[in-house]
Amino acid sequence: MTGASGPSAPAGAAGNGPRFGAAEVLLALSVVVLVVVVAIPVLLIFWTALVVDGSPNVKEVLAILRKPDTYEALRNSVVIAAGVTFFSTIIGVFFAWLVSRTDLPFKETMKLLFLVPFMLPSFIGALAWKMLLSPRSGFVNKALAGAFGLDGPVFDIYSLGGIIAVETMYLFPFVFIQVSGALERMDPTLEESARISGAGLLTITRRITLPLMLPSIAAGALLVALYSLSHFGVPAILGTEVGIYNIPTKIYEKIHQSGGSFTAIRTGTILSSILVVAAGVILWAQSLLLKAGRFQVISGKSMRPMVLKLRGLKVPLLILSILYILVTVVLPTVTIVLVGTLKTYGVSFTLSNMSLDNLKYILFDWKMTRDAIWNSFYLSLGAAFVTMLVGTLISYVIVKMKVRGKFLLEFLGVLPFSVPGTVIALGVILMWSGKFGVNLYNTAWIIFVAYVARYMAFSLKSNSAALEQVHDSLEEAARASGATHWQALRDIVIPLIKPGMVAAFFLIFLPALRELTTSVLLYGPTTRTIGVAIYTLNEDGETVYAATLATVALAIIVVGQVVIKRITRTTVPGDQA
Amino acid sequence: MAGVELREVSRSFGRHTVMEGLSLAVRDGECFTFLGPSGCGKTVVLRLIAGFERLSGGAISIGARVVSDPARKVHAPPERRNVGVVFQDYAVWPHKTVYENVVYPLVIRKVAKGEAAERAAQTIRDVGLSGLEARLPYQLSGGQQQRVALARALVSNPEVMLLDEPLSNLDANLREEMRFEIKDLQRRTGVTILYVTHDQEVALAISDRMAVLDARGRVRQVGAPDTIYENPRDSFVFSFLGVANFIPVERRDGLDFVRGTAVPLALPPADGGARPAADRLVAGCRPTDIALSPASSGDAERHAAGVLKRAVFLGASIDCRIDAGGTELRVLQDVGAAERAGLVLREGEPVAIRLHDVKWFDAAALAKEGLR
Repeated sequence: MTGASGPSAPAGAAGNGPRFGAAEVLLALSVVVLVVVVAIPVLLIFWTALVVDGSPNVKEVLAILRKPDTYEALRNSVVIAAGVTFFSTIIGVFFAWLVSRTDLPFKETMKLLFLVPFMLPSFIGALAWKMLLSPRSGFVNKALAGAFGLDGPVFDIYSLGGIIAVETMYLFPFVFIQVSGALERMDPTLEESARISGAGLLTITRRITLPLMLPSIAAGALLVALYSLSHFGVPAILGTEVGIYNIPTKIYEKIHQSGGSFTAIRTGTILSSILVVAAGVILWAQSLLLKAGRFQVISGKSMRPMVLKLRGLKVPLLILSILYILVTVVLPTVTIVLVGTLKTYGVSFTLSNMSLDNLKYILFDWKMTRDAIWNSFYLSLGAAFVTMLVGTLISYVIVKMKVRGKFLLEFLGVLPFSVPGTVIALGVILMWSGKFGVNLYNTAWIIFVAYVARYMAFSLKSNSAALEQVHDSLEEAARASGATHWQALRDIVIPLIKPGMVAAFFLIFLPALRELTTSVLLYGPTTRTIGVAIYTLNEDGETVYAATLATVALAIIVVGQVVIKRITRTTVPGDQA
Repeated sequence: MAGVELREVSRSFGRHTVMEGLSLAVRDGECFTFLGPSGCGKTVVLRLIAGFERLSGGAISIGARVVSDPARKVHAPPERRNVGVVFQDYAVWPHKTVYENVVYPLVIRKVAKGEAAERAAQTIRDVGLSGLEARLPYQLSGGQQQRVALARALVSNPEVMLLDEPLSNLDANLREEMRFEIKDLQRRTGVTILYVTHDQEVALAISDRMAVLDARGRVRQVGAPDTIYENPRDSFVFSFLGVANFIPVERRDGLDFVRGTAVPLALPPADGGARPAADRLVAGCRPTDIALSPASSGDAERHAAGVLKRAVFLGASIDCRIDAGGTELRVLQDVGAAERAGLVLREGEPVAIRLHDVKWFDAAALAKEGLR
C-alpha cells in the first residue's frame, strides 16, 4: 500500500488507444483523488486496528474490546442508537401520517416545520437542553421545583435517557421524510380496492397501508440508527460530564487524554473499524429495503391519497403538533439566544442583565472566537468549492464514461457514505501526520482534507443526479459538431449540470460551517472551528459565550438556508455535526 | 462529399458480439438505409462510423480517409470525421437557443463571425425554422426540435450525414412530412446520408439503396428499395418488408394443395421466379396479392376455399383474416373495388381465394428463421 503505484494502474488499463486524451486524464485524476483522500485513510484504520508489527493480531483486538471502558462505550452506542431509532420511528411515522393522510389544518406549513429540526445542529440543541434540564441549574427543573416545592430535580438530562431524547428530537425527520414521501406517492387504488371489498379504515391501515409502508419506515429508521450510532455532539455535551461515553466520544477522550499516543490511536482504530462495519451493514440493508419498497408501492406519479377526517381530534392534534415544534425547536433556540445575552450564567433574565456586549465581544474583540468564525468560514468555503469540482469530475467518470476500472471508482464513491466523521478524522490523522512524508497535523489543512473526504459523498450524489439528467447524445452531438472532449464538457455538459454543482456546493458549505465531529479531533491551538469553539467554551464552563457563539452559528444557518432556497428551490437535508 | 466504406467491421462488448465481418460500400451522394429489427446493431454501425464507439476489428473509411482501423491503431475522434449526426431523441441543447444550437458547429470550427451567422441563418431557413431563431428548445414542438437537429448537423457541410431513427419520436403525419423534407434536403445538398431505421415504410420511401439486417446484425440483402421489395432474397427479407402470408404447399398429382389438407390452391403461372426444387415449399404473398370472392360464385372449386374469420374496416380498405385449411391468411381488400364488384363479405362466410403473386421459399429455411 504505497499510495503512489495504486492509482496509476487502472488509468493505464483504461486507455485502449495510443493517445492520452481527456478520458484518460479524467479517470486517472478521479482515481488518485478518491484513493488518496478516502480509500487510504480508511484502509489505514483497518490496518492499524488489525495488524501489529506486520502480522495480524486478533488477540489484542479482543483484549482491548474486553476492557471495561471500551466495552461500555460499545454498549452505550448500541443502547442510544436503539432508543433513538425506536422513538424517532414512532414520532416520525405518526407525524408523517398526520400531515399526509389526515385533514389536519395547515398541513403544508406543518410539514415544513417538522423539517426544521434537521437544519439545527444537534449539539447546539444539546447545549440548550443542558441549560433547561440540567439537574442543579436547569431553568425548567428550577421552575418546577419552585412551583411544586420539590427537593430534587424532576429531569436529569445527563443520562442515557436525556441523550436519547435530545437525539430523537433532531433525527426523527429522517423517518418523517421517508414515510411522508412514500405515503404521498402510494397508489391510492390499493387502499380504495380494499375499501370496496368492505374493509374498515382500521383494517385497511393495518393490513394494507402499514405493510406497504414498512420498507420506507425501515429505511428511515436505519438512517437514524446509522447517524445515532456514530453521533458525537449530543453524547459529548450531555454524557461526558457524568462518565457516559459512546464510541465516538470514547475515541475523542482516548486521543485527547493521551495526547495522541499510539495505544490510544489503536483503540480508536479498533472502535472505528466496528463503526465502519456496522455502518456498512446498515447502509446495505437500507438499499435492499428501498429497492423492495420501490417495487411494491411507489408509482412515480403523484396522486391524491385517501384522507382521514379527524373530526373532533382535529384541534387537539394540531395543538399537539404545534406544541411539539415549540418544545423541540422554539424553546431551545430561544434559550440559546437569551442565555447568549446574559452578563454571567445563572443571573435572571431581566433587561438589566441582558445586552449585546457578548455578541460584540466574540465577533470583534476576542481573538479565539474571531479566529474560529474565520477558520470555519474559509475552510467550509474552500472545502465546498474543491469537493464540488472534484465531485463533478468523479461523477462524470462514473456516470458518463465507458472505461475499464470504473467499478473501483463506484465502490470508492459510495465508501464515504458509510464512514462516520470520527472515523474520517482518525484516518486523516494516520495519513497526514508525517508517516507518509506530509505532516499537516495542527494545521488548517488537515481539517480541510478531512472535510473533503467527509463531504465527497454529498458532492457525488448531487452531481451524479444532475449528470444522469444529461443524455449522452447531447454530448455526442457536440463531438459530432466538431467539439473536442474538453470543449464538449465546457460548452454543453457543465452549463447543463450547473444547478447540481451549485446544490453540491451548498450541501457541503452549510454543514461544514458548523461541523464538530471531525474538527474536534483535528483542531490545533489556532485552528478551532465554530463548532469546536462552542464545544470547548462549554467544556470550560463559559456557558454564556458558548450560547452567544451558538446564536451566531444559528443565524448563519438560517441565512444560508434562505439563500439555498432562493438558489436551488429544494430542501437541503442537514448533516448532523 | 464522400462515400463510406466498411470492411469486415466487427464490434463486441466484452464477450457479447454485436457485429461481425460487416462489409458495405455506401456511394458518394446516395441515401443509404440500414433497415433491421431493434437490437440488431444498426445503431452501433452508425456510432462506429461517427466515432462514438471503437471497432473491435476491420476498418472504416470516409471518402479516401481511413477513420477507424484498430489493426493500425487508427481511430479519428468524432470531431475530426466531418460527419453530421441526427439523434433519435433530437439531442438539441436545452440551454441554447435555436440559433445558438445551429451556429455552434461553425463557432467550434472557428468560422469567421459574419460568415457563420450567414450560414446558420441560411440553414435555419432551409429547414423551415425562420423566425424561431431566438426560441429555446422547450418552446418548440418535437418536429421543430428535430429540424433544429437537422440544421445543426447540416450547417458545417459535412461529408456524410448519419441519421439514427430521427423520425420515430414524431407522430405519423409529421413523420411523413419530415421524410419528404429529408429526401429533398439530400437532393439539394448532395450530401451522403446514412439512415438507420426499423420502419420499412421509411426505408422504402427514402432510400436510394438499403441494407436489410437480421437480428444478429448480418446483412441479408443490399439493393434499391423496389428491387428488394420485388425480389427478396429470402423469407426474412420478405417478411421484414411488410405483412407476409406464408402458405405451406403440397403438390399432389400435378395440383397444389394447402399442405395436409384437401384445400386446392390456384397459383399464378411461374411468377416470382421458377419454382425451386425443394420438396417442402412455402408460398409467400402480401395481403394485397390475394383476391377474395364468395364461395357461392361458382368457380369455388378451382380456388382455395377458406372461411372469413374476421373483417376489420380500416376506412379505405378492409383487413380480413381468412382460415384456409388451418393456415391464417391476412388479406387487404380495397373497399371501393369490393363494393363496386359486390364483394362485401360477412364474417363466417366461406370464401374462395385466388393468389395473384407468390414468392417461393424452402420450408426448412423458413423454420430456421423462426417464421413458421
